[in-house]
Amino acid sequence: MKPLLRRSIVGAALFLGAIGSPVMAQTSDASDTDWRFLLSEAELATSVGRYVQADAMLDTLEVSKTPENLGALAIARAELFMATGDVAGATSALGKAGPDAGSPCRRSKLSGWIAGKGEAWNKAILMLSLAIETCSEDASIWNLLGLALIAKQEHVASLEAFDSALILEPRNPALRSNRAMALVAAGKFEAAFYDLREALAIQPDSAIIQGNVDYLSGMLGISLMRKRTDSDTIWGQRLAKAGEGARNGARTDEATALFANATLLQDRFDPRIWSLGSPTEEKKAE
Amino acid sequence: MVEHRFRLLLSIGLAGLLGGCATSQPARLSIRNVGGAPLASADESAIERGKMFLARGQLADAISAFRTALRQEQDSAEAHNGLAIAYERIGRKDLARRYFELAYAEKPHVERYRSNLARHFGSNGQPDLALGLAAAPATTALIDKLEESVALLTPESVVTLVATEALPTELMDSQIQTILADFSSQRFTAEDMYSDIEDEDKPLVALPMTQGAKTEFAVYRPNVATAIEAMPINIPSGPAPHRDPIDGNIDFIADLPRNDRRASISNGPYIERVSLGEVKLITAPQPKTVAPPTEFRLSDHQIAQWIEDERRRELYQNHNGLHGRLAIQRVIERLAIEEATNTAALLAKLVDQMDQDFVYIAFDDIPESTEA
Repeated sequence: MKPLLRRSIVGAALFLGAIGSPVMAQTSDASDTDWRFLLSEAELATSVGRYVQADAMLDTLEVSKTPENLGALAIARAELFMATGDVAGATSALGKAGPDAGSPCRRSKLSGWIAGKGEAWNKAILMLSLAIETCSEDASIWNLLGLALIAKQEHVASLEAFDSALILEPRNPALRSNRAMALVAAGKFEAAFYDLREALAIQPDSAIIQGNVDYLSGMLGISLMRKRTDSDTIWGQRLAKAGEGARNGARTDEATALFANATLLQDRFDPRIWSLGSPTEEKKAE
Repeated sequence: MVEHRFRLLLSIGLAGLLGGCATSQPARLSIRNVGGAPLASADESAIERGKMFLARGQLADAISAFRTALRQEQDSAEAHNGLAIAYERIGRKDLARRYFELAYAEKPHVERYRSNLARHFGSNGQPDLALGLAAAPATTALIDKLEESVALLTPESVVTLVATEALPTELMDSQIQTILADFSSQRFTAEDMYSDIEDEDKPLVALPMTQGAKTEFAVYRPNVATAIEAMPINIPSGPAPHRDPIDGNIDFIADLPRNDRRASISNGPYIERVSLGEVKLITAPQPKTVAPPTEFRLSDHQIAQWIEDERRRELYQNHNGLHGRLAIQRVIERLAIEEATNTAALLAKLVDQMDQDFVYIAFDDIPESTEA
């Protein structure tokens, strides 16, 4: 409720700032304030996930931009691209922003994300740590840093990053799931499984978290529980995920059984699951 | 001879057929409205027609009309809003969301579009997406407070609303930036403030200010972009990773589904396993009884919440950048050296190519373009 209230009040404050008086509405200050209000609304929409609204508002702002606010608009656009996963768009927009646009924190975060997408992990980690120095209360930066550190196989540091993020957002299921990934990478499977179960309890409808739980269950040899809402297809997919986990946990027989069950439950023949479930290579190796 | 008679009969038959065709009415292609709804007159705007169809429940016609309106005016918030309502009624939630968002984006000051979008998210179980849309009550409260504060202003006053009771302390964080707005000399009465409420296209209120006063408004910069996403665990195939010895006794799990194999129809009868040899048929599931919260439970919960909040607050106090994050700091130091070495190696290579005897390298001044 608090963030909602805060943003509402801020929206109101911005709105009041935007409208001023009728006399003011005729001045350039007014239009500038109005422009800032719209930009703030667009940024809020991006952060919440209303990307269509954000995109339309940024298009509107594009028409009335001035050289002074060009950078702010470019940064907002880059952040929208980042939220939608468009690396090329974000890179282009950030390039247009110039060195002084936006806060250093936002620029570093964007640069770090872009570097991470290009698998330039060193640069990503350095940029994200730079962003954290200026805005350490942003859990999403800690999350990005944690993911980059996992990729760099710096397991202890990645756990430190996710722990820092979870201090800020303890009830965030995605963060818990990502920390579980760091724990798996560090070989702490039991702790990872606990984290994933917690995450799933917070967000039971998340397919990715469910998939992670199934994967780890298969890896650890823990039996899956079919939910009442699981159709045969979904259940088959879950079994296949557990099969992948079992396979990576060197449980070849269990993996074969899980893949076989998954194959039988699929509506259509899935050659991928079939090939994963064929233990020929492993048997030969044994 | 037989063949001749056959040809003759065939000719007569064909002539008869053709004659029959000739006597019927000439073919005419026409398109008419089969739905029974009268077509709107040409001077009616497409939006009005759309609204009319929407009111009658003729959703396909309404969509068509609103689309026509959008062809005439690409940025029509009204048409977007109408389309969204029509799509929502036919169950296309995805399209409804898209057009509600577009309507709000085009006219963010219009209460109706804002509330429609908020309601859409609320009714689809996505309250997180409605963040920042439920502004009306807070706005009213804020205006009341602003009125009180403004009444105290003197002509020379420079007011920082953030620092007074006019805005709650929730705004006091590092993400606040401020903008200064100079207001005109005209002073408005409270009635003037609300004079524009009915007009959708104009500002809702005008802030009353004294002559020469400056007001500093808080501008909240939200944490932008990247809602945190869960990533799928995907360990590449290869040698088995090191594992803690917690799973030594669990062997084979080929019969996984037997634990909870129920009918996929949630309300129908289903079989539940009681033990290895017994099952029971559940025909009428008993609704789960939820024990009313007792005073003890409530206070227990409150205490747990309080402890968690206190712990979080304590942790947060020590949460300052990378301070205390030793593992991360070590990694960063190592990577910084690695990057600097790479850059130096690259520069050295460039120097070799340039065939120079001496080059001065200052790491702090290395431009971005020379990296990688």
